[in-house]
Amino acid sequence: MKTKSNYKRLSLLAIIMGTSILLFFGCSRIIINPEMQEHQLLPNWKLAGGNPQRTFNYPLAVKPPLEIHFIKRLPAAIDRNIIVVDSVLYFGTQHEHVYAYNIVTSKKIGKKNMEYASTCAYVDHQLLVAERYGDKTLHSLNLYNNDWMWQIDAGDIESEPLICPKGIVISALYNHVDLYTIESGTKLWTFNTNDQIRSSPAYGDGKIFFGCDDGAVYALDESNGKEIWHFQTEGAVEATPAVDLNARLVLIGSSDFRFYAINMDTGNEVWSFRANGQLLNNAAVSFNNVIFGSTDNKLYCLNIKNGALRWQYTCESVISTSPLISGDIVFLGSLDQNLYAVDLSSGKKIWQYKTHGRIRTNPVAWGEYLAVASEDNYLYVFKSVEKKEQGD
Amino acid sequence: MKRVSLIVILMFLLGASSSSIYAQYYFGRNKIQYNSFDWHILKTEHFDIYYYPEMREMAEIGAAAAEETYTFLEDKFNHNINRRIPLIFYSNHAHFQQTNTTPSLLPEGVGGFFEFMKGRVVIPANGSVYQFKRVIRHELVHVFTHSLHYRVLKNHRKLNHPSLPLWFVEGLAEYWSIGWNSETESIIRDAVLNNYLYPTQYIYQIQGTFLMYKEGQAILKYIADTYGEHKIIQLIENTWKTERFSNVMKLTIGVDYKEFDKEWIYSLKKNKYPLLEDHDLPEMVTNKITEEGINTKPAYYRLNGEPYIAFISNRIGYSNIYTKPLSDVEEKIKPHVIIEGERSSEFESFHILKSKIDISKHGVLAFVSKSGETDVLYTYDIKRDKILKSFKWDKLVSFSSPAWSSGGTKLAFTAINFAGMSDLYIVDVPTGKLFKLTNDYYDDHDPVWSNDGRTIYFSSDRTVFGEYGNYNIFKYGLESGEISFITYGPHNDLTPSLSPDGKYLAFTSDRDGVFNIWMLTLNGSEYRLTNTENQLKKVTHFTTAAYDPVWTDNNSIVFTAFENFSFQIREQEDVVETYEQIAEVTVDSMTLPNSFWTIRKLDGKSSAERVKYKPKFNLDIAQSQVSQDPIYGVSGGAQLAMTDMLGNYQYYFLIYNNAQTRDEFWKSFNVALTRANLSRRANTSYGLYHFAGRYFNMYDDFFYERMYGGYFAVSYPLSVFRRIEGSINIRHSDKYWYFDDYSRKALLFSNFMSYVKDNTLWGPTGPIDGERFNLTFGNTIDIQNSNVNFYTIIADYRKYFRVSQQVAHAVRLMTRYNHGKEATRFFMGGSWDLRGYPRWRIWGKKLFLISNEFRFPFIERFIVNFPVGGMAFSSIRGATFVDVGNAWDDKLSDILGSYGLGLRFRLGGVLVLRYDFGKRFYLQNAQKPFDPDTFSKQDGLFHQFFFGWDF
Repeated sequence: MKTKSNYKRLSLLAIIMGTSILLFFGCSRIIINPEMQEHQLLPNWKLAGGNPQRTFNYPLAVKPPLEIHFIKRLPAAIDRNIIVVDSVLYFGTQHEHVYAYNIVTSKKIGKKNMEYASTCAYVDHQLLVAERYGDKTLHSLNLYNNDWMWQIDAGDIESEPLICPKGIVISALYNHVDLYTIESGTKLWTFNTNDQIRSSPAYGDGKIFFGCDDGAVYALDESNGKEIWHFQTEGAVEATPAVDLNARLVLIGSSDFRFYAINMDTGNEVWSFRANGQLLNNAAVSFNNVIFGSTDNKLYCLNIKNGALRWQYTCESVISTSPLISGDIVFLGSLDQNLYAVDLSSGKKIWQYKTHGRIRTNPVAWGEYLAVASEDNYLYVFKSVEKKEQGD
Repeated sequence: MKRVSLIVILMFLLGASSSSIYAQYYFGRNKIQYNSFDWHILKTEHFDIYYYPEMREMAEIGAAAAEETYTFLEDKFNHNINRRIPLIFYSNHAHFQQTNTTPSLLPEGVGGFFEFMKGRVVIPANGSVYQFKRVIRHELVHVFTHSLHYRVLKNHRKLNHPSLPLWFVEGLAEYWSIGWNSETESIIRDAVLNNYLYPTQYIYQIQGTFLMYKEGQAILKYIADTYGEHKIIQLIENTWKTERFSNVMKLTIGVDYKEFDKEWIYSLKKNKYPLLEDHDLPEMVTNKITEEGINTKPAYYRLNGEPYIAFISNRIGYSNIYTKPLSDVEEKIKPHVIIEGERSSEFESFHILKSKIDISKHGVLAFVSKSGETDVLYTYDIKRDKILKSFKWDKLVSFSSPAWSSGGTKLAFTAINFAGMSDLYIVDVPTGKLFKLTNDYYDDHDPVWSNDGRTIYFSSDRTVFGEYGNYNIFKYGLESGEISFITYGPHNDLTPSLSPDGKYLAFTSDRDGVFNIWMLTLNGSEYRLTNTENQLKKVTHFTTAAYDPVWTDNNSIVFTAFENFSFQIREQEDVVETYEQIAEVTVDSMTLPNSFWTIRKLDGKSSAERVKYKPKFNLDIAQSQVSQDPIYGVSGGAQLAMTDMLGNYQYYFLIYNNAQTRDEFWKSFNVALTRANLSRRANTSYGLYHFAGRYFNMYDDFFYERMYGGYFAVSYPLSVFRRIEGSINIRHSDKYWYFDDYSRKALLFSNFMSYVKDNTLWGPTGPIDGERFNLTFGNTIDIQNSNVNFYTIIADYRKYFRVSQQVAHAVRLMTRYNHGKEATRFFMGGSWDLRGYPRWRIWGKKLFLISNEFRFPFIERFIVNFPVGGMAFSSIRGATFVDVGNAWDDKLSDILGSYGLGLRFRLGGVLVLRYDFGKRFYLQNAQKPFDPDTFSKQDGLFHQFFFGWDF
């Protein structure tokens, strides 16, 4: 005969078990409700650079001044890129997790356990996770049911995945670039280089462009992975190229202190510009402007046609992120812990915000929000005050 | 050689009031604050620069260099330092040795350091602006490396990964501050050609040595040249992926240690072996003059018509000045010591690698020694074995390389003043009058007189290439005051030496890669650099290096050769003939006439603010511990240490409790607070304490004692080797003996005075030369209840007789004496004193101990290799010993002793493991110690394992 105390004991056990199960499953899952797409009309930021040309140009203006919308402190440092799709922030950390947060509500949607540091890209309802190190380094997560669709060994990956018409392009650290199918992760072709690759691939007009530690910028045929041309610089190329389809240029910096504009069809140098420091991050492209930062603490804006200097802005330390163009504002992060907003046409500082630590994560915009991460594991999401005032 | 800290005094004081604690380290040399610096802070964009007003210009030069380096490294590392970096500058090495930022005594070879706890960088200037800037860059590379590595590991949550290997850390600092220079080239050539290069797999065997620095530099250069400079930072950035650095290399450049060694060493051999085609090892083509130890800075003279040389050597461990006949090329005659160094305050250091010596035609030696606060310039009659004169001047701190005029009445030398500027001086020896020849930022070295006394030749960085650390030879016209070039170019021309007939000038130059001896002709006519009249020729073609050439009067040159990672004196004969036969002439053409370099200081671009230094404290150490003892139970506590930025003011806080029940909490509460002031020559400390708890010793058995009170202590160094210490301690003592059920209250007042001397030279496991002693007098009295009143005498004398390089005979004579009411007992027994007897099982108010020990090497060095790596151990040493002693209260009735053998094994640099075995013996009648009837010994053997340095 069951007594009251037995019931109490059983209830307690059920609660404990239920909580454990919830915690267990809650520990490693990201599930997106396909019907929760409140902001479908807003442009998404599905991969590093915002688009396959990696132009770091968001079509909507996030206007300063900005105010803090929310700050989160994570257990580990956030990796170099954040993506935002349908109001969900996705990012990997440098230790074992991928996170999803709602940018509007600030609520954590979920996290996924990985083995090492990782970064993300989005295609259809799949979250592509590239791990920096390990046995299986490229994963496709079905965001509707939290299942891994496929997981493959793509080699160590220090770059960002590229989604192009024919599939996923990964430039792997140990000297090879590969094309995989989105559906199954099947490798379609491989291109081998002479040295390690940290530069992320960019796409333009049927071609794949990337830099290499051997100092060269390569152009491959997207359909078969064959080299079309390569362009040699004097130093390792860690930066990711930006592709301007209008000007038919591949725009990229090198550790030899020079920024190059290369004809995307022929591989010939159109112009180059010498800074006073290494150029290790991506450039941003907007109309006739190309903007990039350097380890000499300067942000440069050049005329995309001829490389003439339009303006430069000096920070207190190394510019450690790619610039983000949002309307007529350029956002950038620096090792001086500041997030800057600079006027695109004049190069004058409009606004800045001092974070908790050095900023190495590229700022990303979505709707009226701006997200960036700083050292010591902080995620910042800002919101435009101007928009709010308009709404009041 | 440990510096006594006031904390040790505190421990001693506290111990003296209960059981005796005679720690092994109540000797030690002294770090003396001769100068009271008026510290200021120069705040630049990224740095807080601590300096004193006398060296303000040098501080501004250093500040500009630091900011320039910061920009350079920010780019190189793609990283920044997000805190202000403290840089502490001293204007010369003598001042640097006074720093309290580290408790260690700083040898001359330390050119600066980066200290992790407060992130301080501490650097002395040394007269050369280039060297000062180079050391700043070296240390800032450490700051950036440490910061980036820490950040990489923290971001990936891998802070448990090991640090970067030391060869990488120091190699990178050298590579990014020097690049590559002739000194590094010489050392690497020497290592390759003499087969002592250590591969990366085994580089741990030379951990911390100068060779490791240079090999690390060579490895980093090879990686940059072969794989690209960007790989260096990638090596740091990949350390989160794997714990073993060999694997990090594999991930980054595709080769692990073993594979890397193969290609690196092969490339070195390919590069260096062909040198032997037209270069020679010095030992193969010159006469050997010395063989053992490091021997440098030769000077030539004749004694009773026979040719002799004098030189500085550390062949026995201490640096001395020696002489020997030049004809003794096989070193059959042991060099004769004429001046002993490093044992007395008159001759603390001869600057063995920096300062030349010289001997006049009258046989008078001129040399420099550190002596107290500054260097002193001495003259010494070799024949009469007598110091003739000594010179020192206010505001001149360091001297080097005195050179006699031909008449033997004047000495030219280099001196660094209080501001850190290096200039040439002349002293008129009979009158002591001082003349300053130069007065600028440039570093002027190694003067030598012309025969007519009108010209001084010297080496200086006042050339346009001086900005890059290059030196050329100049001449100074004493009548006109004009300085003109003798050599010119982007290389180093050093230590000029004039031939006896005045026709030739020899000097050492690295203009073709490493230092060799070059000569030119001084033909008396107006000297012009662009013609070939001077017939500049390279006379020696050594693979490694030659320094300090000195002419004899027999057509030969004696010099210091670097080979087999050592410095030896060698002789090159028939110099003039060799010179005349050389066809190839080098011409130095001056492309930029009369070009000197302008030293950069802070300009308008960098903002700077100057403020007076006020001590601010932050935490250096905070640690806690919990321990469990089967007798005393559990205790737990914490200790904190706080110091100011300069380390001059220190606070220590200790708290712990060993209560076993709640009731006992306040009865078992222990707290102590100490403040120490090390800013002045007399170091002082004072503090308050409350100690309470149960104790035990073999005499008192278990007792409870509660003590609270305060103390004041002072330590005044008379010299580096001797000091006087005093302390006063007043405390309330409430003591209860459990088994006797007896309690006693007292208000105890103790005062002690000690005189300590220590000039010992240490081997791997303990002293092997010199002597040390501690003589202490004290009195403890109960000023309230008269329950306690005793006086204390401690005399501990230890002498070490050097038998050979590594063999010594050590003698210890010790007595400790307490006499009076409730005189505490001393304890003896165990591996640290009377061996063979249980530790601290012999006690009494008086004790004596006599130890004799013969110390010798046993195993020089051994290496244990594991699959995942290896460990190198320095020597295992042996000893034979005899100890006699005892402790007693009223009457000494018998004498205890032991004899036996021992082994000492140094583990990890600070821990020495000891094993002794032998026999105990007894002299049962202390009144008749030599009566064989009273002698008995133990059956069997005793065995004792313990740790600790030799006495």
